[in-house]
Amino acid sequence: MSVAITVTPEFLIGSILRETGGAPLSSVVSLPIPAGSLPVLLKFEVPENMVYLPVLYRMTIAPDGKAAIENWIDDQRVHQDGYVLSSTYSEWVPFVRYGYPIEAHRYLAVKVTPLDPMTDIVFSYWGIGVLLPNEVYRRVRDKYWRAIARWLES
Amino acid sequence: MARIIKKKEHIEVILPIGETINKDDIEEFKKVAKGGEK
Repeated sequence: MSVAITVTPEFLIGSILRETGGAPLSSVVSLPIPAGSLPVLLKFEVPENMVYLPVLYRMTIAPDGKAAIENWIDDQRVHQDGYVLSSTYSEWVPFVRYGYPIEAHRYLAVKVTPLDPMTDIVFSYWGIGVLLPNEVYRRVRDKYWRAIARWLES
Repeated sequence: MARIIKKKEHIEVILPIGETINKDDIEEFKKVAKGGEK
């Protein structure tokens, strides 16, 4: 999967924040995965009474291994374009394109399947989004979707 | 603090959104990933 980004994450986050009044939130995780490990489902849990709007993510692995990557919500693969991540990959990808607000007690997840059974890898995930109280999301939902539409058209 | 659950097909690492995993989580994960049970 390769997507050209023509706006910065800061621009996009700023746009959605202006629409929602929400707080920006970033998730940064770096996980060493030993050679021969089972696939790893890295789940980010959304707290009670909140909604998380994922916007952009970026993933890398190091040093020279490869891994198959899929985006999941809870235990369902979000879309079919799973891809192989190598140490050369480093790109912001617009999760918001898929339009999945994630509600309380649900999970934004990334499944990492190491492809080389002899190589230790370090998987790093950066995610940027907006965390909102349920009632705020309900109030600004239409504005949020308009912000997405404007961005996708830009 | 992350929750680490070994399942038949994969290992789940669960953490509240916005938090990161700490050194203890990583050590626990490595143990589970290398075949230990959790």
